Amino acid sequence: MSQRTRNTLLHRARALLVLVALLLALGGVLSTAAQRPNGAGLVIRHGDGTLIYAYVQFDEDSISGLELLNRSGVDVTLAPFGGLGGAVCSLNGEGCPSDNCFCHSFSSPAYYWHYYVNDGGGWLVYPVGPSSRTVTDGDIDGWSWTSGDSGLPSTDIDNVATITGFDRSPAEPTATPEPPPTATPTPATPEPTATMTSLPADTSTPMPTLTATIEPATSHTTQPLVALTETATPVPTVTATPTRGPDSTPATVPSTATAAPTAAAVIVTPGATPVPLVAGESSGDNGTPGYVLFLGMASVVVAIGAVVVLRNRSRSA
Amino acid sequence: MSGQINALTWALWFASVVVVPLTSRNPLYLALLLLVVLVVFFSLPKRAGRSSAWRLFAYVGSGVALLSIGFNVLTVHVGDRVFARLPDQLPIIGGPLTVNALLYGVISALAISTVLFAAATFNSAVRHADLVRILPGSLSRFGVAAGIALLYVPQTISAARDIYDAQRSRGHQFRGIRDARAFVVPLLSTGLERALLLSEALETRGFGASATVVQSRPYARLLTAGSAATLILAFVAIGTGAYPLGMAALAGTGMLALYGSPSNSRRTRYRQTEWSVASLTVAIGAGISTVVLLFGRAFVDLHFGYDTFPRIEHPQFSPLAGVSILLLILPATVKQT
Repeated sequence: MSQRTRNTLLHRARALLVLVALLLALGGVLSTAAQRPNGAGLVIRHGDGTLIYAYVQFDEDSISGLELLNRSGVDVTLAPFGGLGGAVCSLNGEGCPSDNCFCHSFSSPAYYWHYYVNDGGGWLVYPVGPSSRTVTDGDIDGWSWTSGDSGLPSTDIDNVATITGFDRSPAEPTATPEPPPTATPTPATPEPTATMTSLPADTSTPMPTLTATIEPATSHTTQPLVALTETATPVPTVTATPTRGPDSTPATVPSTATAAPTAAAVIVTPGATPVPLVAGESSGDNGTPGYVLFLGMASVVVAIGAVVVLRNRSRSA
Repeated sequence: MSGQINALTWALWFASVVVVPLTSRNPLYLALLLLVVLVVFFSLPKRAGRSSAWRLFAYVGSGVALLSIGFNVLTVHVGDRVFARLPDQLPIIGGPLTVNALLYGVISALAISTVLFAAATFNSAVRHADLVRILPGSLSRFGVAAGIALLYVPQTISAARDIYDAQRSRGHQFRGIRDARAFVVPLLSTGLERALLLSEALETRGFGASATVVQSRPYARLLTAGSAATLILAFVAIGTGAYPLGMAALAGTGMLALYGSPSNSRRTRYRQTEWSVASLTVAIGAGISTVVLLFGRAFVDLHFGYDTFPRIEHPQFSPLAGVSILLLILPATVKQT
């Protein structure tokens, strides 16, 4: 084989290789575009029976249970718990401070945040903390402020996604709930922008009607949160199907929107008052007076230090 | 204010200093305390050898503590503020790198450095013979052993410095690992030689001898029974969440057990511990600080609890805790004679 023929073959082989690589890359891009993002559910039951459903989308193969809590926008207080990971002291303000994480567990009945995982048929107690739990697509974590039974409703990931307004069908990669236009602030008593009707599993239970209001998050995060008010007994085991009403214009994608939301949480409160949950809201104040005091005291210490150094120098001289 | 601060006061000061690093991760308190400890450390009169050896120990220890920042960032992948990401395929270090982990590493380094500088201050200021002297008779052997262990670090650093100077004066140049043999071998042989000398000296003085007179204390049984009772009380209190009471009961248990146990050696003291105005002032300041920092949280929120996970929030600052930490600067204001 001549040198020229060999060069020609080499060039063709290279061209073929580049073509195959391009095709593979294109296929990867197309398959990624068609793929639904991973998503996991979260069900939180407070002591008064309030239920919070959250659905979190993520690009990674898996996230930790702590990340799931964090990304859902729920206010979490943690305490380090050695090799078992972080212990959850309070969720949304219910529970204990981090320096006394199990403050309500020393008396009978002992209350603390119990951690569960959904195995498809029911809830199983998870033996370690959320930072040691690996959450993959379709998983549901449960938290309950209880002294005994979990009280968590039986549900599945499609149910959680539906309640929170997400679509888990493969062709829809983006979330259904979208932030309203930023120029239109939500009024104090907002008109319902979406109506959710839940059908109880038990026919003896009165049928609750849930109305949902999509509000923008007011803090640094961009997650929209949905507050639900029910007009009847809460039935968490519902197969709710959100149906947007004709006046659901705020839910359209505004031109100023930059990114689709990746998480949403729904509060199911036994009362009739809507309580919007704001994601990422800091529980403490901004600490400015504390900083001023700290700087003042630190200045005093530095001044004393300067005097001491000068005194030592004069003594040694 | 002038005078000599006695060993007991320094021990109380050291115990008060370590309360915050051991019980809190509030960065404001830790930073303020580190400043206070540094001022006290640099206010000490320089004594050749011992002080500089402990200074080197504190510097090296703080340098090692800084490594915890990088370790934390690479191994803890939790938090809401991600600034970089390593490939997930990498074991242990793969995943998101967060500002939360970085901040937690800085806070841990602050706590470790504070304890190290406090230990360096304490050991530079106190003669270990004085420490052994203030211990109860039943703990005298433990005190001697602890004193020897504490002296190991400065003596080794001092010996290393002497060997380094001697080899340099002989014309030896330390350029690489191979040249280290001329340094390491004499250091090891010096250490072994010192250990042999020390053991012979202890043997000569009857350390560890069994033929000692056991002095029985009055009400010894009563004290021992009281110690057992307070221990049970401590367990119950801690088990039911009454931590301040539990800690106080534990401290009481230790004190009663200490004074209830028989003394196994007869010791004589030629010079009693002096309580100068300086010693009294520093001891009272350290005592108030310890009580407030340990038990104050039972009555007011001192904001000791702080965590950078899962979100970074502003640390709170309690004026009461801040003033209590400021009281620990009193040793620096004393003109030591």
